[in-house]
Amino acid sequence: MKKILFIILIILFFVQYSYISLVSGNPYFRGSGLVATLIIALFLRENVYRLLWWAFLVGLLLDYFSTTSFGTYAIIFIILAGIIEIYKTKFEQSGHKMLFVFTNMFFGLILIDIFLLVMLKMDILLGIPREGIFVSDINMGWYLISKVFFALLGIGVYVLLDKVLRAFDLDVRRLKIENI
Amino acid sequence: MAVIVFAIFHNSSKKPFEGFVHAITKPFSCFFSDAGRFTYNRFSFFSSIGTLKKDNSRLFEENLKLKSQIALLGDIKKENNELRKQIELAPRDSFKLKAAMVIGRDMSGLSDDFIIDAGSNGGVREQMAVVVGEGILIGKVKKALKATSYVELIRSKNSRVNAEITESGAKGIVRGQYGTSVIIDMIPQTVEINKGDPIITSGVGSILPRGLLVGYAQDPMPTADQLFQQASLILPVDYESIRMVWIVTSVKNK
Repeated sequence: MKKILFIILIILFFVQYSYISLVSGNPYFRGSGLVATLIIALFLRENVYRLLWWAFLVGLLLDYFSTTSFGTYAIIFIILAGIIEIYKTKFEQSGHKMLFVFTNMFFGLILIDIFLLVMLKMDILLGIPREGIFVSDINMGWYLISKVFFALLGIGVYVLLDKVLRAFDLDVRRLKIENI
Repeated sequence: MAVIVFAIFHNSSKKPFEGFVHAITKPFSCFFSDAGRFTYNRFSFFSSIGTLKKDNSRLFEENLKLKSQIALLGDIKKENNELRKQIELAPRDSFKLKAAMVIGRDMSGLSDDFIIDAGSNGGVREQMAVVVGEGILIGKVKKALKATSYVELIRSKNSRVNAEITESGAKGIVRGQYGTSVIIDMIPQTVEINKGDPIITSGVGSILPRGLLVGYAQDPMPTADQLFQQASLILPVDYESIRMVWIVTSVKNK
């Protein structure tokens, strides 16, 4: 059953990496998009501290296919896990579950980009040549549209994950990374 | 653990087992990029069904016109060859080329880099020129792994290409502008740059072969220090629709 979760991750990864990024033709639809929504969905559904290994390994997977320093996404996902865990209990009782999921996806994706830019800036300050980007270069309209798009897809990912895990009676709390 | 990994590898351009990871994921990348091309083509087809009838009658009329123009093509071909000689574009058959498919894009979204399905096992080396069509330069191989390679596009911020304006012979440097545009820089003030002047690779530095088309000049203006002038470039290809590229592995001896 843990294999099912792994298969979902791999499919979402390649859909983002080799499908959406090539077909969309719009730079704002590239990036970690779908993979990040899966990680956020897992964080929202489960106790994040038990999923840190997942966050770490998925982060490394993204690092292999990015021009960022190795370990950048791993750190970002672990920080994101901490942030989501801090406030999610306050809001998840509100009853508007899908709105809660959408909001988390939307701001989670933006937070990932902010962390990415901060770490990129650190690299540049350390003298490591990196492909830089200025916030002023970003088309905010397209940027926000892409985040809304991925947040909506993220709801789908959350629902899919929920159904799959229930169908296979898989409790992520019991996941042990050694068995993945 | 993540911080330790980052601290160890953040200063290195190589990632541990990167070639291996790319090699084992390459079949999946190829499958999904093929699926992307397939559905994109199908979607384009279905969305165009409504216009097929209209297109059919239009094409019939065009066909009649084209038949009459075929006779002129011989002359146009000669003229084309003559023009290529005049602007010093190298003919495509003067290079040894290796075909490669684009199978992915940089996952961070911070750069334009293509990932292609040809690597060092197939003779691809870093700094080799990457072209499309009839020798139009789109970038250079930035990193060659065993089975795949990263291609840095000429519009990327870090891209630098030695280039020449064919009309005047003036040499300059083509560089990217944060992925949005491309300019040719370091042109002496005395040189006249006309809108539409073709810009080709100069071959200086011998990293890229001479004669690859980079783009066409427009809007010349002096640099901030008034010592040189620069011009933005009109790029002859739409980078977003590129699916197949050619890597210039060597120049044939004539």
